[in-house]
This record gives sequence, C-alpha cells and structure tokens, in this order.
Amino acid sequence: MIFTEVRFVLLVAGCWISFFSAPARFRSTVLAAWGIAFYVIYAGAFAPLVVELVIAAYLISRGRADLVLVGLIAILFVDFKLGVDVTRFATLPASTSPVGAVLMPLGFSFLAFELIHFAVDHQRGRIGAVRFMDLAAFALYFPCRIAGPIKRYPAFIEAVDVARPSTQNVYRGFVRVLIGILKKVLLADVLALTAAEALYADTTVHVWKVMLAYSLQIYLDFSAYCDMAIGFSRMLGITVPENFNWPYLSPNIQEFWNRWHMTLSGWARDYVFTPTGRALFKTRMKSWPTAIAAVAYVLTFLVIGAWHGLSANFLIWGLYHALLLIAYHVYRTRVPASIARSRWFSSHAANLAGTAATFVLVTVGWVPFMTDVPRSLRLLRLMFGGH
Amino acid sequence: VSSLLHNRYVRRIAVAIVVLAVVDQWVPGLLARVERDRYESTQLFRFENSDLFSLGPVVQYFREHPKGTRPRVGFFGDSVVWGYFLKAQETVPAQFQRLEPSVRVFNLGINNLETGSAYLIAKSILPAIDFLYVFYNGDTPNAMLPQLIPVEASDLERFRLEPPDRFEPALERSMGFWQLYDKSYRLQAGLFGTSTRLYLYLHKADLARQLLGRPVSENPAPAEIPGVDAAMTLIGVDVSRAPTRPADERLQQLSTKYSLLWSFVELIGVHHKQAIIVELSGHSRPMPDQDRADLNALFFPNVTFLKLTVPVSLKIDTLHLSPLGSAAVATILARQSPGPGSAR
Repeated sequence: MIFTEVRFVLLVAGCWISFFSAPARFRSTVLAAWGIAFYVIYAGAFAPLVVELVIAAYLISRGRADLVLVGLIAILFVDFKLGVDVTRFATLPASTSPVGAVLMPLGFSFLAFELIHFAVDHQRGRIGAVRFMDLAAFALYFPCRIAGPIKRYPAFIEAVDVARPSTQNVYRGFVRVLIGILKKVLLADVLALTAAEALYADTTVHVWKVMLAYSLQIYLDFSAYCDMAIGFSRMLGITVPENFNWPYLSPNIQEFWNRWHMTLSGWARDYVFTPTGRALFKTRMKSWPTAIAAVAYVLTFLVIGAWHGLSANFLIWGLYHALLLIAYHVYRTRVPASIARSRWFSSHAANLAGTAATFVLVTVGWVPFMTDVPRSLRLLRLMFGGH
Repeated sequence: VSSLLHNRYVRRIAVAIVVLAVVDQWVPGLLARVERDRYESTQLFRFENSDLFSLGPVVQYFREHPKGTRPRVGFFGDSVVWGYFLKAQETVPAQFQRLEPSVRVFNLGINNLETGSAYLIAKSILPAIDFLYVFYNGDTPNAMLPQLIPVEASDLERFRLEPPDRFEPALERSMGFWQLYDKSYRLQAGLFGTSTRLYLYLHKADLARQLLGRPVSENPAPAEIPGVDAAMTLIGVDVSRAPTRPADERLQQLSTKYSLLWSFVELIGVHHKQAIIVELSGHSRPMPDQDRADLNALFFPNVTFLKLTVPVSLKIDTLHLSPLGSAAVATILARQSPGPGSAR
C-alpha cells in the first residue's frame, strides 16, 4: 500500500514543510513539483506522459488546440522512434485490490476525468484565467492521485489559497489516515480473503457469503483509500471532497448513487447525464421525459462502467445500475400520490425494507464487477439456486 | 512552549508519541518470547498458511540464531511437504518430528515452491540448519524471493530474477529506532505464523468462540497412525548407489544436466551439512535410475538421492499424500541412514 510506505510519508512531510515555507504565490508550484516527484518515484515511465497531458489541457484552455495536435503527433513520433509501446498501460500488473482497475497506472482514470472537467468547465466559462502552475498543482496533486477523490478545479485552487498550517489539521488528518489504514488492513483485507473464495464457492449459501464479503470489502477498501487521501490533504490544510456517505444505508438506488463514489457520480451527472438530457429535450423525444431519463441513465452508466475498465463485465455492471435507476425512476414517477402520501411510505419499516432491498440489489450487481462474464454467470446461477 | 502545551491537539500528539515510546520498550522482549515459542519450543512448526509471508521473518531468525536448542532439521518443498488437505500433525515433517523428538523439525514447505527456491532459501540459512530433506520438484525459484530474503547478485543473474527494490528497504531501515514498525513483520510471523489478516481469516471461528467464552479446538500432538508398517511395504524405495565413482566425462554430464541440484549439493558440502534429496513419484521430474546411482556414488553419505514410489492408495490426489501416506514416508525417512542422528 503506497500510503504506508516510508517514501510516501517522507513525500508528504517534504510537501508539508515546503508548502507552508514557500510564499503563498508559489504554493501551486510546490504542489506541482511534489506531484512530479511522486510520479517519478512511483511511475517514472509515465511522468512525461502525465506532464504532457497537463500541458495539453493548459494549451486547450488557452485556445491553442493546434499546438496540442502538433505536440501529440511529435510525442507519438518520438515514442515510435524510441520503440516505446504507447499502449503500455495495458501491460501494467493488475492490482489485487477491487479498486485496482481504476488505479493503474497511478490513477490515470482520475486524472483523465479531472482534466475533462477542467477543459469542459473552462470552455463553458465557469473557470476564468488559469495559471499553468495552478493547473499543474490541481492535476498532479499526489494524495488524490492514487484513488481519488475526483477534485474540481475552482474548489481545489480556493482550498490551496486558504490552507493554513495548524496542529488541528495535522492531528485530524493523521487520525483520518489512521482510520483509513485500519479500515483497509483489519477489515477490507480480511474480507478480501473470504471474497477470494468465489473461485471455488459452489453452493448458494457460500456464494451469498462471498458476495456479502465482497460488497463490504469493496466499500471498505475504496473508502479507506479515500480516507487516507482526505487525511493527508487535511494535514496540508487542503479540503478535498468526501467520496462516500454510508452508501449501504441508502433506502433506494438513486440515494445509493448520491452516497457512493460521490465525486464520480457528480462528475457523471454534470458531464454526461445532464448534457445528454438537455440535448435529448431539444429533439422529438421531449414528449417522453421517462425515455430521455432512460437514455441518459444508460449512457451515463456505460461511461461509469467503462471508466472502471474497458471490458464486458464492467459495461454489464454499468448497464445493470442504469436499469435499476430507470426502474426506480419509473416507480417514483408512476406511483399514485395517494399511495406515496400513505403512512407506510414514510414509515421506518418501509425505509428499512428499502435499505435492505437496495443493499441486496447492489450486492448482486457486484458479481459482474468482481469477475469476468462466464464466472459471473456461474455465480449468479448459484446465488439464485441454480447449479 | 507554553502556548503549544495549551493546544489540545499538540497534547494529544504528545501523548500518542509517549504511549508509542513506552510500548516500543516492550517490543524486543515480546519478539524474543514469541519467536522462541514458535521456533524453539516443542509445538509443531509449519507456516500457518502455505504462503511466503513468514519466510522472511523465519530466515531473519535463523540468520540471527544459527544455533538452536536442538539440532535443526529442515523440510523443503511445496504443498506436498506443507501438507495440503492435512492437519499440521498429519504432515510428513510432523510425523518425522514424532519419530525424532530430539531434533527440531521445521516444515518449510510453501505452495508451488520449487527446489530452485529451496536452494536460495537454504543458501541464506544453511549455517542454522543441520539436516535437510529436499523434496525435488523443479529448478525455478519464486520471483518474489529477492524481495524477502538475501539473494546474492550471482544468483539473481543465474536465475534471471529482478533485483530487489533497495530504496524503500533502506528508508525502512532508517526507521529502525521505532521497533514496533521495524519488527512488525517478525512480530506477526512470531505471534500468528502468518500475516494478521490471514490469521484472523483462518481462525475466525475460533476467535468467535473465544469471544463467546466457548472452548476452542486445538491441534493435538502428532500421534502414531495405525497401519504404517503395512503402508510402508507398498512404497518403493530406491537409494541405489553405483559401485564406483563415475568418470570425469560423466561428472561433467551430470553437473550440466542437474546444475541446480549440483549447486545445492556443493552448497551442503561447503557447510558440512547433510541432506536427503527426495524424489516422490508423480511429483518430481523423473530421474533415470543410473543418474541417481551415480549421484549417490559421488555424494553419499553427505547427500543421499532417494526415490519413493508411492501408490495412489496412499495419496489424496495424484500429488498429495494422505495422512497414512505421510506417516509412512516420514517413517521411511526417519529410518534412512545417514539421518539427522548422524548430524548430531
């Protein structure tokens, strides 16, 4: 685990000292420099590529897409001449962590979504003048490069500006990191061993036990990484967004997505779901809002699935959640007002039943997320009483 | 200083540091006790889980304690030696321990570990092991080994292994003043015989019973398994030795053909140790009888090449021995001469 390595801790310590020693106007430069150091230490081969991407995003924001194009061609040419495999991402070893698919190489998925957010919001005029070092600090900010959360540029730059050294921040940040480590080591990693029994589980009860373990593991594992990222940021006095809010206590699937990986679902809402909905409302589909919602959900969740990995199982997982959300949308809009106002609908029992049903549906959905399609089918058959 | 002391967060951090510093004082004593219990006591030794986690700590212990309270016998191999499907007391090393109580038997079997790994492990701990049983099964060492145990540069090159990361371990060594951090792997291996997480996983039922105040199942000491004498008659044993030492040309041929075993045998000779290299039917790469006879003519009595042909009736599957098969093999090994008694 990178977060518990001595070199990572030294990186944080060095960053902390230089961040608060440097004049305020150089803070972004300090963060960018430590971000590059992080990439050089942990993924030296990818450091130039990451810097190139940041430069490309900056040039696009300055209206110099032509330079970006020339630059990309030059990079491809140099890579070709050097015999470097430009598709080398695929050759990186897979992580054993369930979030591993989105971490390699070192959070490239997170970086890509942050840069897309930057480019789109800049084009929409929501981000004003940009200093290159601010963008570099935002994109290379290393505590969030491993497993998110996915940051937003304006909030991050403001957080850097207002960051102040304080013992409270160091203490609370440290405690948050400690909580993350304990969550990962004592809970997620132990549950992972039960989840690994999926390979040979062959009874209905066993598969449900495995999936229950996996359901808890993936949450604890991912949220533990986020705890550590948020904790290290807190030490620096930088507030980064929360990513999880007790998602398994959600009474419905829509609420689940408001509480699970919140920065990803927020990103997908702003850059896929809402634009898709808006675009479809300008077409002949505007008379069928439910159909628009359905198309937007499917597209959004295919993007979310693909973000986790470009393979059939992740796309199926995305599609499954899209279908659940569409079903919930239909249920919510079609249920008669008289029923919706009934005492049962607002009772604790209904809430509890909704939470349990949501948890079970989400747990079933983790099956294709966990393994490839043939194995998923086998596990699903066993879960529902088949052989 | 006064304002800092009035800051409650500074006070909390200071208290945490003081607590850690106090706890740290107990770490060396605790480590010595748990390692003595695990490596020198009469309880059976095998890795709690058949993985590499505890290998590094065991190797470190042997390097720091080259002499044990009793002569040490090491069993090297894979899941056959570890005893897959078997309780700890049913394995070959455990049954051997029952037959040879005056020595300390270490079951160093780990899943999928080939003799190439056993060679590198033995090379790093040989002064601390008096007699070796090596279940021969292949020459390729595990690629993780250089990260876990000292491996010489020449061996890295020979086996085409990636050199270990030197940066992070050097940084970790610089944290040596913090014993709890520095010794955490050894403490886990000593306390649990594996990582904490695996221990929790493997013993969750027992831990739950303990929490509920119910009795916990314990592994009994290895007992004699009925029918061993009859089972032994079913096992073919071949320790044939050529009447004369092979010619130089033949030596050259054998050293090339069995280059790893050759190095292993030389290593054992350099350290004045003794070993039995065990070929198990269905497990080892078959060695022609003439080769075995010539090798025995060369290296006996320091090293004996022994072939055991075990029938399927004494196995759980095509590879792994049954409890009775293990007991029979252990008895054959214990009766083999020279045995650990000669090392004493």
